[in-house]
Amino acid sequence: MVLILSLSLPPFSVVYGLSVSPIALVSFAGDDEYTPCCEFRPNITSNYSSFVLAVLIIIFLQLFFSYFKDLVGREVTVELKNDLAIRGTLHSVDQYLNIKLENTRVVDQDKYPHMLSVRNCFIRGSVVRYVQLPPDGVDVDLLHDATRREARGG
Amino acid sequence: MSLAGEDIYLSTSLASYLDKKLLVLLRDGRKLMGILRSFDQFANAVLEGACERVIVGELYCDIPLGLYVIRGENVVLIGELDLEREELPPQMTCVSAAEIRRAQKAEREASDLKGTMRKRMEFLDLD
Repeated sequence: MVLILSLSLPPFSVVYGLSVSPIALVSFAGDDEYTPCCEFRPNITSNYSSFVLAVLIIIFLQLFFSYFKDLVGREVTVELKNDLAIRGTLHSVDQYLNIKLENTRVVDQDKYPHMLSVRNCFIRGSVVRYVQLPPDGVDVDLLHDATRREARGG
Repeated sequence: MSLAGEDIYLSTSLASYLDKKLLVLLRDGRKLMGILRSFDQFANAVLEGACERVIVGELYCDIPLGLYVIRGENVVLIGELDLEREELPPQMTCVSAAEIRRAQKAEREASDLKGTMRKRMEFLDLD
């Protein structure tokens, strides 16, 4: 199974003075091995170390995205920055780590009466403080290996 | 963003919420309700027939707002309202906009007072 993602990342081009678009990541599911191949056009001043940093950040984003994709279907509790905690089944996640939950219930229901009839919700990634996972949801060794591979540069 | 084959269903998009009545929570604590007509990759949204539901204690009020375009950075959560369930606990009473504003003001003043009292006590360092 080959998963091909293409992203365009305008925020990075502003920060690092590069225009990086599009970036295609080829991932082979089952091995957790992937070879990033990216195409970029250096803009005005392309600093090599900034470029490396940008690529590392991009790859890192993919690590958690891939990790959450494997958690789809599990019960998680998402705590938001406004202290609202929502329990539900992880339905889907995207590159921004936006989360869609199903069968949601609010942890402290009396404090949030407006959420009574909400059963499915979409949570913007930028407002998530924590995602609380089931203890058996984390294969620590696999995650360690994947992270080590990231740090080495894939 | 394009996904190949069987992974398409994993894409988190608001498309499944189109033309549905939603509850949108904003960063400033406001709760808007309306029908989603449009969205984009930043979670900007167009809500038709939007109303703001203000809840103070046991009182609530729906203030009609009309057609709203919400900038995605202010969105906390978009929730699909289940029409078969009660949206609010049964003991809550609906009041007019003026009364809910008064109640909001009273609540704000009470919490400000609590804040200043606490600060005074902390200054005294009684512990």
